[in-house]
Amino acid sequence: MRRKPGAVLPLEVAILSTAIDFVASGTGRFHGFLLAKHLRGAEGAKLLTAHGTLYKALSRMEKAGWLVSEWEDPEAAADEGRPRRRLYEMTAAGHAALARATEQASPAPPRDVGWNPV
Amino acid sequence: MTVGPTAVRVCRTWTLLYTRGLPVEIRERRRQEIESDLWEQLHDSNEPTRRGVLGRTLRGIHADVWWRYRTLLEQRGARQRSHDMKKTTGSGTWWVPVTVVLGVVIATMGILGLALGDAGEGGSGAKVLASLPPAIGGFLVIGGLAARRQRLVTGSRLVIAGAVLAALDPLFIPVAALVIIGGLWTGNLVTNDRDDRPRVELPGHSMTGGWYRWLVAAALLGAAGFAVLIVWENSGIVPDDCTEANPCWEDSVAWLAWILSWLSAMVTGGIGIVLGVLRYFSRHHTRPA
Repeated sequence: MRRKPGAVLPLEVAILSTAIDFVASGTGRFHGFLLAKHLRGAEGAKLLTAHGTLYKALSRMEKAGWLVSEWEDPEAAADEGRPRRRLYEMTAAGHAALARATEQASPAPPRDVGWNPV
Repeated sequence: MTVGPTAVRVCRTWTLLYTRGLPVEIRERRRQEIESDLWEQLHDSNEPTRRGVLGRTLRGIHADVWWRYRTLLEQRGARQRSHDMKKTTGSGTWWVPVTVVLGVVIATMGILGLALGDAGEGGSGAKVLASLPPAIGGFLVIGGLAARRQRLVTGSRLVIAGAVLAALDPLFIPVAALVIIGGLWTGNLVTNDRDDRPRVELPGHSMTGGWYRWLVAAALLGAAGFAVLIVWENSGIVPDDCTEANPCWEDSVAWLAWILSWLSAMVTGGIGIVLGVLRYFSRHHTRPA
């Protein structure tokens, strides 16, 4: 299916919403697996988002300017004996995209057609 | 690490495979991200299940393939080509896998036919000869697909030529028809969009509409399918002494070929018309914003 310009896919909406939750909880930056876990919890799904689906979406969103990412400090990873994480963060453009998507998804407010008691 | 090494190995191997040949920076980033993700999943007390890792890999294969395809397109700097393809093809997502399968299957069948033909049985070598077109066609399809990455039009022509050769065997007509339609469409061979050079002209008509391409492609395929049938019927493959009372297998094959060919013509024509109409209405009757 061809994608409309400026359209935000459901998975992207979920990622942006989860990114906001991360900010609210003080996490701020997040990595792929953490995101997959939260997405599963938020959607009540049984399975984690597939690797391909998740990282393709992240890559696309970064290109769109909705997310920025960078590798974490190698020393921090080495201290914990694990591979480096790629850390993502939501941008102002991401907030705008989410607001736009939410606006499009919600029904239009009723038109003011008559008497207003206020 | 409690998760089966097979699941992890499958994931790593697949990642190595689909990132192969990509620019170093992109390739390494994806590989390291997957490696990190794997590590996190394996060390998460709630997650480490064999099926979980394997399932995440398998369920994402189509997205990985599509991501690689898009990345290659972007990296080759073929902006105009990409633009044209997006504009004229709807991306061709279905076409590449169908073409890969067709290429591999017909090349394999052709090679098997060449290797196991009737030459060793003291026959005339007719089966070996009949295996040549599929064998050559299969390699043309595969070579054309590879060539399309650098030369879109030339590669598409090779693919179409290979599919036409494959369609000499009526069993391949339905799939070959899809490959030819896709090749014409995604290869910008039936359009005026590419460099303003017309590929196919109809008197008094501009062929810039997507629906036109589908209809022309379907019509061409119908004609091609009919030509194949005429050749088949007159090639002497069906013996004259086949009767209702004394049927022979060649007769059954001929009937099967007829049915498949007509079915193919109807399906491809139907797809062409339906998609053409849908594209026409989606282009000309979009809702105002």
